[in-house]
Amino acid sequence: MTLNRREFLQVMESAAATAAVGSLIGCRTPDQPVDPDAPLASPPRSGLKETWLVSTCGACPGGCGVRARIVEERLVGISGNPLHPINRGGLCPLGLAAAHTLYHPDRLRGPMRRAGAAGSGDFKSTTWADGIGDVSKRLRDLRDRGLSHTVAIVDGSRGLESQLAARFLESYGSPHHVDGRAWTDDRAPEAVRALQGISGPVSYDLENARFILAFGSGWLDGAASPVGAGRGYALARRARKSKRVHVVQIEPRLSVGAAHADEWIPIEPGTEGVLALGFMHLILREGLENRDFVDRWGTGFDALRGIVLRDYHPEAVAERTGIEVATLIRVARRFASTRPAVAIGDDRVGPGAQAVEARMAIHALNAVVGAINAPGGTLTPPPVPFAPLPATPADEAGKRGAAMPSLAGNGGASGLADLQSWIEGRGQYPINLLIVLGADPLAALGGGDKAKAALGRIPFIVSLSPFLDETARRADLVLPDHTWLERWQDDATYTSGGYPVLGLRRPLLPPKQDTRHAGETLAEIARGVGGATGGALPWKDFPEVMKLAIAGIHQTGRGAIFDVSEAEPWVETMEQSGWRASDFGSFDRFWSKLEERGGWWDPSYDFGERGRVLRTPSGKFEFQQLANAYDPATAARPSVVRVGDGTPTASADPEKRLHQEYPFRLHLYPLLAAYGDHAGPLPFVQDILGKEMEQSWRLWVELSPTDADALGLTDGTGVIVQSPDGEVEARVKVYPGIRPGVAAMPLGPGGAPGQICRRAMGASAGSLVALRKDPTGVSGWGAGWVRVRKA
Amino acid sequence: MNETEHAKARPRWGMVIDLDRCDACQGCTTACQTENNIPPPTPQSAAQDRSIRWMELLPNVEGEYPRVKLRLIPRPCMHCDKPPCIKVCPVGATAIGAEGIIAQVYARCIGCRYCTTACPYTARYFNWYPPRWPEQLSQSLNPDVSVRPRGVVEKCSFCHHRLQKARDKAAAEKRELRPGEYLPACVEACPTKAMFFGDLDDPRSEVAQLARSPRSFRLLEDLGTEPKVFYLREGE
Repeated sequence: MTLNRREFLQVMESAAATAAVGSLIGCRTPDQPVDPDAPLASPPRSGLKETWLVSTCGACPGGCGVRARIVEERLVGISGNPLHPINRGGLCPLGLAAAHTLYHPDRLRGPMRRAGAAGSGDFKSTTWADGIGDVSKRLRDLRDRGLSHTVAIVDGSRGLESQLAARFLESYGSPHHVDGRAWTDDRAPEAVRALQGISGPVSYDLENARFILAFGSGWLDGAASPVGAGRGYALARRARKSKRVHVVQIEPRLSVGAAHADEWIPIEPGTEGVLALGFMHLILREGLENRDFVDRWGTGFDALRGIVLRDYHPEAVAERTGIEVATLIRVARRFASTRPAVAIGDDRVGPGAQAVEARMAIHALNAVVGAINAPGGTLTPPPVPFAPLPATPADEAGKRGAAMPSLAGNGGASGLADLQSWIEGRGQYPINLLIVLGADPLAALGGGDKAKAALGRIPFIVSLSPFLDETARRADLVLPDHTWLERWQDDATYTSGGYPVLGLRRPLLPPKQDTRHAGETLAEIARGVGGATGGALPWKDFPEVMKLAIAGIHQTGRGAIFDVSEAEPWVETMEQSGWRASDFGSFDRFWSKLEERGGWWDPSYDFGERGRVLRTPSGKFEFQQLANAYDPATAARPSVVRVGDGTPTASADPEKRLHQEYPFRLHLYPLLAAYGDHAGPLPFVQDILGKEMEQSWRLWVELSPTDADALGLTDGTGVIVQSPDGEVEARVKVYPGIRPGVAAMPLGPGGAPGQICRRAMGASAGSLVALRKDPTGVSGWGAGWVRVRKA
Repeated sequence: MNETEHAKARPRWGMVIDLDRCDACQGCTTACQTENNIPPPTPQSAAQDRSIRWMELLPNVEGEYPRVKLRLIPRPCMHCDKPPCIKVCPVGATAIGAEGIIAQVYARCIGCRYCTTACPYTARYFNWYPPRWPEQLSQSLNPDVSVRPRGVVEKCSFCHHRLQKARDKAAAEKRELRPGEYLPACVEACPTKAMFFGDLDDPRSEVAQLARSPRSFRLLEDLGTEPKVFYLREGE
């Protein structure tokens, strides 16, 4: 189309004479260089086939709803789904850049078999029939030899896919279903389990809180759902009617979360538990505790009171935590007298310094002020009411294998630390075959070469990763999964207000590469194994499994399909008055509505369900457990996790020795990009991941000006950071927002050679800490001590 | 309607960013980059400080331990009512439109970078490299926005192509443009709903009201550039 001068001027006029001219050049791909002399070659193209589909973001476990803009079979944009209750149309950089995940140059093209040495990255392509046939045959052979229990699945997936893996193992005959989620450990769930007796997650009702007492960096930028937490924070800050929330952040580093707090209290790392008990001391001494909760719903409170009032005087706490007495008194009073107030431990579990006891002490602060299961406090989201899958068929061989002791040794769930220590010699028999599903155990184990050596001793590793991540590089066979943009999945999560949410993840486009749904790959392997295993995953595809389970929601008639937010209070009122808002119609109609709107949720929370929230043997909040943990007489856990907690323990001496050799306390903080492991390394994200520190792409270590001066280091100096578990290269960032004596590093994904977009961080700070188990069987990241020297 | 009345009916587009809601997630930065076909940055572009971010989070650290303040401010083009960049352009490649949006005409730009120097907000970016998308990544290009050649300056356009689309749609449906129908990608993506966009001249609009808030301020206000991006400071 050509324009004469008059028309040109009209366009300029009506389009406000503008940047538009750029737009009017029309779409060009980079291989068609734009001719700067042809400004008005064509107006914006019209008549392009454009569709919008909704799905659920899979870049992190946050569960935001997304809308995809698809033009002529190309995914050209991802934005937030305005109907989704977690994000209401907003989205973080990982989700927004997700079209790059789909078209990522480092994606695997199809199934591959290792050609060179393990870890060389040398692979040759193979067919699906060959790959699946090979695994099935190996599994069949092991089973025939009575060795089915030597097979393990490392599973980082959630929901139904994880259930498929469990069914597979149960029918095949192995107890080794290993939790492979990155940067998770047992500390936070263990603390809640000990006090409340529940294993599910706890959500913090940020939106309604008037005082947030946050310990650690993770509550805002690294929460279970970063976007959900950000939204809750913003609403608490500037909701229309109520007073603005007051935020106190306790952390050795002035993080993004601390920068947004009203007060930042730099604490000696590892003394968070002592501080929590110090606050409790002041609250009890001044009689500010919530007697109603403590008396009616607590047990063992007097024992705890005795210890806290005896051992945690403000002066003693001030000395150990490095926080002034006046600050302690001011914060404790305000926390106990503001309603509602909530204390948040490091929600994002990762290698922090907080021991289980410390997390228990922080959580118990909520109980002391009556913020357990209360608006603006901690909530326990009910589960999404899926229908259970039919019983798993099992034969004799399967039952025998599945009854073998699990890697965890105590019959509990196994984690990566169990797998590693089992292989390193604790185990009674070798692991012969490992299937890796939605996980990258090598990256997640940390600890540098030790994890590599351990995994290297498994004779056959199958990875189902869509990218050549660290584990896939060492695998013998890679059967790549779709990216989250090409696959079906259920994403059950919850809002910060405690409402259960089911997000539907659906393919936005046909697969771009020769990949297959991991759940379907697993089912095909099962069919290849035959016998009872062959019948364990009988479904033709993954949506069939989803429909089976989601029918449960349809049957309950509870909750509602996602809708505009204005409807929320209305739905809630109707539900409370006993009226069911939902008229789902037939299941097919329900399903198509799910596809159209993105999911289902149940926007009601019953604060009366004490039995669901307090599941301890006593049916009460177990203050006694916390008392035991901090009672010097019972000396609860002389654990690796406890190292550095600041309390006098059996491990105090090795602690001192460590400190002499490694003078800096390592503070690892979450970085959004660390969540991006499911998304592939995205250039846009790599470029901004340390923006607040003016860093990107490469790993850095933050030191206080005093420490940097003492070592003769300046901004940008290359250094080696070394811990007892490993070492990494990094650049120095001198930052006055760090407590002297602390070295802070971001926890992001490491780089792998040979990848186009992942020259990235180079090394991961995760290799400085290792996942270990303490004698009571709780896994945690070793409290890191490091030394820093010039490279 | 005579000329003057017509001009009055025109909106004056502006933005308000509430720093009390912003949690510095940088969703705005990425939303802008994908919407506006910014070439994917590389370690090289980052090392040379040449990555292009029309919307950029500016960190500012003040004070000494333990009384340190870290401020994080998202910074788009201010679309100043008195823009210093326009005055220095020797070829008229940048101009202020009738609705206050500062345009950049890539075809006219000769890459002298006077404007990047003149802009006190460092909101202008030079294309040091030819636009390049590794392999299939170019499939994700937004068909509504052109890519820019090497050697020209570019900056935030308030997602002007979205205004055009919204106008086209309104015209096709024979109605006026509705408030909220035209939003830049950053505003739409903001997870904490910290960004507001609309007509500053319409006293009923949310942006006009917020811009008059006691919390409101503008960056480098004393320079007299009269930015149309307002910030709301933290606190009551």
